[in-house]
Amino acid sequence: MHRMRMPRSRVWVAGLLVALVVFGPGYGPAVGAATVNSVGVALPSDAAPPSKQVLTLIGREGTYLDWSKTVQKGQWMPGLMSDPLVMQDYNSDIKPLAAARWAVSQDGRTWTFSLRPGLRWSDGTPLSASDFVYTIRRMANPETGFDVAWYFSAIKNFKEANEGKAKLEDIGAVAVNPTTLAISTAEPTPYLLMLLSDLYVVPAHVVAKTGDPWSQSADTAVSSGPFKLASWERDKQLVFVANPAYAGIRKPYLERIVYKVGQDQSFFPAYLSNEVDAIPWIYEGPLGPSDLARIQSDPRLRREAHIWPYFQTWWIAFGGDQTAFKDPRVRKAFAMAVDRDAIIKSVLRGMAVPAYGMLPPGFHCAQPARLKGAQPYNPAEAKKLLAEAGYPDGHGFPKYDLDLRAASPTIQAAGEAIQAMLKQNLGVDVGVQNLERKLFMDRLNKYDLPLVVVPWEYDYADASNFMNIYKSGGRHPWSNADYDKAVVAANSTMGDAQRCAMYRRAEDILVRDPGAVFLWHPTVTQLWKPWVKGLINKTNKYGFVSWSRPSKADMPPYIYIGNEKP
Amino acid sequence: MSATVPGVGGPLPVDLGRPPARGAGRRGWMRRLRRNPMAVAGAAVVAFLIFLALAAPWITPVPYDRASFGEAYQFPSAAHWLGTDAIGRDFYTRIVYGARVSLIVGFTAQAIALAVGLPLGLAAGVLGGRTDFLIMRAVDTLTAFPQLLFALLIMVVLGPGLGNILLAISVHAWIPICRLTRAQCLREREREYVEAARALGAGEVSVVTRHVLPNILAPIVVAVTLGIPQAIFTEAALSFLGLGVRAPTPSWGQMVGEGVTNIRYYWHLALFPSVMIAVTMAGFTLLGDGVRDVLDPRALKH
Amino acid sequence: MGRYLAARTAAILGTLLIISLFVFIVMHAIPGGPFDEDKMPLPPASKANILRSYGLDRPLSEQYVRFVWNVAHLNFGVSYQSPGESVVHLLGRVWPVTMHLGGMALAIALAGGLSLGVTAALRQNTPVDYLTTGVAVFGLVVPHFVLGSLLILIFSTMLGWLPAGGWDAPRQWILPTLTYCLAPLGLVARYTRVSVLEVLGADHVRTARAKGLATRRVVFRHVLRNALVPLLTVIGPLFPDLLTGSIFVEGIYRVPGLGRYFVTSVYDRDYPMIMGLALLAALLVSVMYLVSDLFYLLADPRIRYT
Repeated sequence: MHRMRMPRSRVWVAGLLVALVVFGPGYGPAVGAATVNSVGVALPSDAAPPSKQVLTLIGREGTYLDWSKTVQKGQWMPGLMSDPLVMQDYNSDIKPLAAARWAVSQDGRTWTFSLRPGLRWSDGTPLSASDFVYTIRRMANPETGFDVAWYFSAIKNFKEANEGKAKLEDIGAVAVNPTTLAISTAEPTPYLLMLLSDLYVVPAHVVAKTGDPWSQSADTAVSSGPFKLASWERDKQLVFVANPAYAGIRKPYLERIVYKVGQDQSFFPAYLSNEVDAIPWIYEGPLGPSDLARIQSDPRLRREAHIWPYFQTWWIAFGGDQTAFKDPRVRKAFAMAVDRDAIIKSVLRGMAVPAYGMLPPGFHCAQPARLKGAQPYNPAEAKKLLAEAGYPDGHGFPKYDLDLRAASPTIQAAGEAIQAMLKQNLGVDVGVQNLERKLFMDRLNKYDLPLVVVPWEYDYADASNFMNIYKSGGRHPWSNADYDKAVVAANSTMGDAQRCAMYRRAEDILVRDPGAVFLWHPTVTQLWKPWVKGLINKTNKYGFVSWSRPSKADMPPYIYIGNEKP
Repeated sequence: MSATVPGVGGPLPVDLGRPPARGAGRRGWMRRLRRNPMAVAGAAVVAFLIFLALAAPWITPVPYDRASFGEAYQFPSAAHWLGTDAIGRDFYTRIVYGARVSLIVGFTAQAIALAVGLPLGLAAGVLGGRTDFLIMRAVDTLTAFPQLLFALLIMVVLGPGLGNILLAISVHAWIPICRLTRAQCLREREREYVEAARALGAGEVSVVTRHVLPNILAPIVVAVTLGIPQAIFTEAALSFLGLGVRAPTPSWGQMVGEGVTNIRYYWHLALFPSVMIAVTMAGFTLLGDGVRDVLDPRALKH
Repeated sequence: MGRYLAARTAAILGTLLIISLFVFIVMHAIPGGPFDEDKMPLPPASKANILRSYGLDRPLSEQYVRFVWNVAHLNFGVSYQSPGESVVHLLGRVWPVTMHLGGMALAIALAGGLSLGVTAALRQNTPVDYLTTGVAVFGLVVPHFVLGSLLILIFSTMLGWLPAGGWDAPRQWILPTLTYCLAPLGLVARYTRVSVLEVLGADHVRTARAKGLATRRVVFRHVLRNALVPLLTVIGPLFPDLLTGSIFVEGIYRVPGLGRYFVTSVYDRDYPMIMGLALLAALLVSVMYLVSDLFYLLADPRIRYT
């Protein structure tokens, strides 16, 4: 029997195959060849394949995904579908977005923006400066009923148009040509860019035809942002997909974002069971003291929790001159009877820093050390002051309620803590009432609430955002002419050092009068799974890792899913 | 949409066909009670709760509103038997005082239910005709009103507080009593003894008070007893929604509301008030069962 | 019978009208309207415009008449909390989910409750009786707003067996249904037990058993049939409750149903939804009572209705 000899051609074929296996592309690690997602963005080397670039979030549901219609009741993350002129990056600094560059006039009252060329809506229509004009007019239009119209009152004639005293055409927003937008302000407004970072432009051609519901269904929700709405199943979830027509500068890594909808108490269990990748919510509702304790005691959760001091302030506000708080001694007594450190340590489980003034630490113009001793905890002195005011040991002090606005159990407990302190230190009896939101705001706006605990969180990183609250005629009855003067002057001064000096002078008045009792600035805890990567894990200039302004979707274009996701 | 356990304690709108209990049955009630361990257990629980409510100031170490900020969120220990809450108040003390709110709500709501439901039911059942129609239509209308929505509207308009909660609960609580009374009356008034009494010349009122009423009392007592846990549960549900008694008064429902968000770590804040609510409701339910078994011995025979 | 039915139907319509009027008045008596400002006051021109577009600037009596007229044409208006969606459409979206959950819970409650109740009655005053009654009572007295969180903690967070919420896959149905069915199950079990005991004590049943018929046959043929009618009057009230959902159960499990709207509609002052929900629930209850009264009337001729 003789052995079959391999034909030579077969040897060649075998050799070729071996060569292909060893040296050929697409085999083994793809050195030098990055994966690209459906909108042409190259994914990082540790990213999961494009089919798994899906970020699942959970949060509350709103009415419209259109922040020129409503913000208070609006759906979160309008920034996914719209590129404002400028954006706030993760350092809260202003960077160009839809506008490539801008210039301010000599008198500081006119800003001219040049739009980036080639921007368009997802239905192909070019994005034009007139869309921005349309959006501004829509916000000012009293028929639209925009609920934060006051936010843009710096723009010339915006407030007057909103009150029906001027025509919409008179508003200081003009489309000089399709790629140039001119915005004029009544007074020089140094923080105008910050305001404009929240101007989510709407498609004039769609809104004019479809009206308010345009943002609620995938057919009409035309997008100029990095994502577009794929579906909105009410009470269930919203789904966004990467926008293939997007021509801006923040093309996303993610292919899809699934935003599940639910009530606060269902968020954390969903996170624990891996049904969502992150809880971007920042308010104290979803994560109570127990959850925070659990996170702190679990090493894995501790790594996934991102904690940073938030630009938010809580304080006690007083009623007007018809209440016992007309007397500044009473207000001072209350200020000295509340032990903010004790509240932070007990109720808030350390998840806050004490507030000595209106501006949170690290915020524009803030200098909290300066005010540290201005509202000290001094029960003896407080008692003396109250007696001087005519209420020794609290006798004869009217029975007020400490009103809270739709407070979570944590804040309710804080309210009870204050109640206990007032009783123990001053002998004053206050009731704690947790009013539902509308009742509260209705009475607050009528100056009908004698004693409240309220928060304010920042909308943009400029002192005016906080300081404007206590201008006369604002949310609270306390008013002081010197305070008004300082704040109004600061609002229209262009030099930053000067402005800050004026804001600080105003803050001093507010704290020492006292117009309010400042309590704490919360630290917020967000959770995201370890496979959520990207800019979100980079430390910012304030020294922490954060997903700031989650409601506005600054972060999602810079996030990707790592390949360790199960 | 149910704030309450559906139908708990709500007695059957019609009875199950029991004949009047009288005579030898009544005298043996103590014997029957002793033979029914569940009823005894229920009675013991209720007695214990009443004791808690009455003796609260003497069996608790501190006032229930004494805040102690350095001791917040402590687990049960020797110093604080059931731990402490968010501002360091002794949880054991608050649980004990919570019995007061629950019992006040339960007893008062049912007392009002009886005071309103019994006369209206009698009027409807005995007088019949127009009166019956009008009363039943009022009952039907009120029944149709979704209870949670109704209570919510009342509480939002009037504000939180014990009195308003009682109002919100009582508005619905009298209906089962009224229906039951009426149904019982309708049955009884066709009976021979009633006809006999009428034939002997007794007036309508006398017929009602001397003949009908004693014979229908048994299921009504049962119904009132079984309605107590329902009232307590509704108060707990409303407090859970934030519409309860004013702080710092402790109420189990409110404590559950604060506690349930803490269930994953500070379990004591969720566990103890829930257990108290459950035990209270179980106690009254078993007691009600026991009262029924005792007053009507037929159910005890195979 | 025909006259009786006609009278009851008219009564139901009357009830709905009265309820609609009452709810309307109370709703508008609550301070704070649906379009009130939140952070800062709205300018008056804005507010006036919004109110006008929703017809809320008209006098109340006109609004009410307009409402009744629309309802007669089956138009319940548009929900404020879900703008662009009519009340009817919204109900059509969320109510089937609630009915699904409620239906499953009811089915389990009936099946489980009946079995437990019969077992307890047949083995009265034995440990089996105490055990089954204990289970029934447990289901009744544990508040379901706690039970939900507890079950999630055990089965989802700690054991990882079941998802924490949602309503798409059958796996997600298990925990909400379990939470929801325990109380009605307990109720059915208890009343079945009493009911069965009643009938077991009746003469004709004792006769049947004395004659030597197997207990099981006796139970099914005589006992259950006689016990079912009074039982229906107890189960009756369960229907409207279960069919209108529970905010607690649906909230913690993210079930996209009707339950939460009872509360959120009041908080948001969503007038059309409040009216729609009140009328829907009222209709369910009225119809339920009518049906159960009919059953009772047919089953027990001793009771006469004037």
